[in-house]
Amino acid sequence: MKIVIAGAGAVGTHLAKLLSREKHDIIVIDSNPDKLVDLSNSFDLLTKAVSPLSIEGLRSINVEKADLFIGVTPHETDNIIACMLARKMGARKTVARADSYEYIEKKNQELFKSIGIDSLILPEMIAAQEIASSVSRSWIRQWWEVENSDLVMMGIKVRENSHILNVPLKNLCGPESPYHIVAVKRADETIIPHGNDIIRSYDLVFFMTTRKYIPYIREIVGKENYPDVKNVAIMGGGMTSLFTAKLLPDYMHVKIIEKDEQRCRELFELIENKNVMIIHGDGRDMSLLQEENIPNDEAFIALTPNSETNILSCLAAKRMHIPKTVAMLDNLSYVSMAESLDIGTLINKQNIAAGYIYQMMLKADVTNVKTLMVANADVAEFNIKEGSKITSKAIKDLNLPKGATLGGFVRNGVGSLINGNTRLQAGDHVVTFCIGNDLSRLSTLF
Amino acid sequence: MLDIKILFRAIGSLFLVETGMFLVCLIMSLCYHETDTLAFLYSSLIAFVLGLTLKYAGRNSKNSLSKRDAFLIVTLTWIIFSLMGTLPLLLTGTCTNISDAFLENMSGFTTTGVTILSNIDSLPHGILFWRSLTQWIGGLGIIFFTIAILSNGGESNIRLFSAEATGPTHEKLHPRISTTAKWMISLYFLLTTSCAICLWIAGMNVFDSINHAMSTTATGGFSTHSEGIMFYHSSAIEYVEIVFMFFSGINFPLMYLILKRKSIKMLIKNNEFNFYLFTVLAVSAIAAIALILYSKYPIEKAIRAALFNVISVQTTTGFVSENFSLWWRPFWIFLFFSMLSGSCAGSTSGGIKCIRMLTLVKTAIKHFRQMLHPNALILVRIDHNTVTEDSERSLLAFLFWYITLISAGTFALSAMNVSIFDSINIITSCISNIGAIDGNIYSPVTNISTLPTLSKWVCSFIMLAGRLEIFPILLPLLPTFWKNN
Repeated sequence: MKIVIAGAGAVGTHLAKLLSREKHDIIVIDSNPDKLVDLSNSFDLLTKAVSPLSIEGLRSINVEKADLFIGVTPHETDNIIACMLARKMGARKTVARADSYEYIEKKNQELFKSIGIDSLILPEMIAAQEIASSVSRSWIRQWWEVENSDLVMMGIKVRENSHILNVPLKNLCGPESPYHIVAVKRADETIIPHGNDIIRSYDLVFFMTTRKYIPYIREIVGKENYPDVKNVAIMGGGMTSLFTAKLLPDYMHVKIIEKDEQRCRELFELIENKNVMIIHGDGRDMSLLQEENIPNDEAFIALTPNSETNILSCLAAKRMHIPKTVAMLDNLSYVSMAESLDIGTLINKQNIAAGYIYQMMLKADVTNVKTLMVANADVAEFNIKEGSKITSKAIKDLNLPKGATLGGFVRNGVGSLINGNTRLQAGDHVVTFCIGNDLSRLSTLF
Repeated sequence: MLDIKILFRAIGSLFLVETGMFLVCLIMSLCYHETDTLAFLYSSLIAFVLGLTLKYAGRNSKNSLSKRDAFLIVTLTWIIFSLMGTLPLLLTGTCTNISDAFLENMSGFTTTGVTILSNIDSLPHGILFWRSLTQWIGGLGIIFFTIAILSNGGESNIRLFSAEATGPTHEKLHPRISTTAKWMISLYFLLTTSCAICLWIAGMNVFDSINHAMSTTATGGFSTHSEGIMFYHSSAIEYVEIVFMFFSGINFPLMYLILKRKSIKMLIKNNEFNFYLFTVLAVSAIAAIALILYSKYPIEKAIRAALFNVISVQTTTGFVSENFSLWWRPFWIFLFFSMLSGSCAGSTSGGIKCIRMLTLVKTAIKHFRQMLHPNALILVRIDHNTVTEDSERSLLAFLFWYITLISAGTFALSAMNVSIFDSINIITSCISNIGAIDGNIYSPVTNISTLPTLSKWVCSFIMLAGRLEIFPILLPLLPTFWKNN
């Protein structure tokens, strides 16, 4: 598959790295040659210093043979124009990164299709959705729901007060139990647990279950007393903050702390919710936080462009005993450190954008992919096609890739968990959990 | 410095428009074979000759106008237009002196509706129609009409238009001002016609229904009878008036858009309209309860009287269905609030306007929130738009001058031996262009002909200041306005 990535910024670079491991033909173009040097020296891909808007430049990389053209320059208009050009010149599919919510709305998709853009992504919006869902269920670190069903997967950090510690999994849950532990992240390692493994304190455990058992899970992991979030402080007033404030449920009181006064005004114009207050000041100023009663909030979300600031202010928030903290990290090398510092949820826009685009290229009919940054794993949903390999045998007899586990499936709108005896059928919708880069190997089964 | 030729040209065109108005009244008097025919004939000839002369004198004027000159021209226009309008009143002997005639005309053009005439029932039809016509023209604005009639959308006219229009912001319905004006006048005409038909069905004769319709949609208050609406003793007429007075208080551009898009949603979502509706209903409810409890009215009569008089005051029309100065006295303060607030900007009504009141209320509430959260950025939002600090400041300045003018006017009147309570009420009624006075001696059912002569000029000035929203009339009074730097 020939893939052209226009723009070697954070998203483009990350995506290129991710895809180059998958044996695709990747061409990264950017008008600034300096940005390309590092990529071309360390990864198996081709770089070319041409402007994505140059017709001559697009011709020189044979864009007409491209299966996918991805516009991820920092500018929305550049992305859109580059995608339009590429599409008219023969690229099969185009994806552009957008900056405004209007452009990704469903009702406008047809309009963009007609001018040659198959799909638009707004990483900030996807990040905001993730933040909003993690704040609404603050005791859960990762949340994954299967559309149109009651299946959910959630990652929960278990502590000493949990009831499921130090018991071998075979005694904890059998094939008929209401939940299924699909993965455990312990220190820096993610494992697919087997019957003899045990859960330890401070593990991040990924449960697959159905909606009605969520309170039960909350009980066994000892999170009944975890406070529900009603007051949220958001530090930084960027686009992610804006979308987060809009997506948080209406009963929550939100304070956005932003340094730049002009930006404060813009935010005020854009957010009409009365429960959202814009505060002009520096989120690192402790007296300001005290004055605005931030220490009594239940959640602190750090979304400044600076990863270090976000980590440090989340630590400060932890010290003020704010139970739920969320930090946005642009720098992926901080992930494991931030994780070890016990910051609740980590958000990375590049990862999210990459995960979204990644799904478009898997051969099987993947409807949804999410990359779990902390666990270095992917969660993907597959629709099983007629005659695919996975329907031939029961799960225990299939030779699944080592790093993959099947969590649950939806058949005729009813979600069920998968155990060794389950035999999947065509038309089923399956949720899988994959460590490392096993996703594409797994996808051959479908 | 102001190019005097522009002034000549502007007033020349206005005189031609006024000639047209005189001619309409001339036809009216010819139809009724009355004594005022000659008066209107002479008036129209004088206006026509003067108009042509001034137009000729201003033929080579520039077509551009600075903002400050626009203020001056608008003010002068209104004064000169009213002065010219005194001609038929003086020639027919309806008014015996210029102070009375000027006040009567100013009261008409500013849609105040306060009158010095005590013998209205015996006036010739031409004069009665002239009085209604002044209100109808003044309702949307003299310059507005000139622009619509002469289809003249030059740069200078746009400046004049914005200097005359009421409310803090001016909406345009169409990129071209003369088209906007025409659309608005079509709506205005439609509203007036439907009002006239409804009044006629409710039992008025044709002449009365047309006159009252013009006066109602202009939120003026002139009637063809000394007793006004009370003359008819008809609850049907009162209900028709309630509806049409209320409609005339709604923002006209908004009403136009609603009719055009056939969607009521815009109206329901409009913050200013909701404030208007809320205050009208709340004050009426208080009045109705007070009438039932203290004046022992039957329920229907109490509700009708409350709605009629409160809507009349809040839309600054000034019709009265009964002497509300005899109502439960503490109610005065609510009525006073209605007087000050007026209806929506962009309607024909006067007063501070609901949008300004709403902004003030929101600003006041905001201030408390700001005190609790000193670092928060809290701005006032109206209809999804944030109110900038600039417009907040100019609103406060407007309010300051409004209060100052009321105080100064009250001082002037009471210094001329009018009682202080009456002075406050007369001045508030004048500045809000209402006409009905809730006082002790000067009540809603009396006229103000017994006021001292000088105070009539004060009232005229206050009316004009209220109609032009203060700044155009105060600005030329500043010495710095006349300095060239």
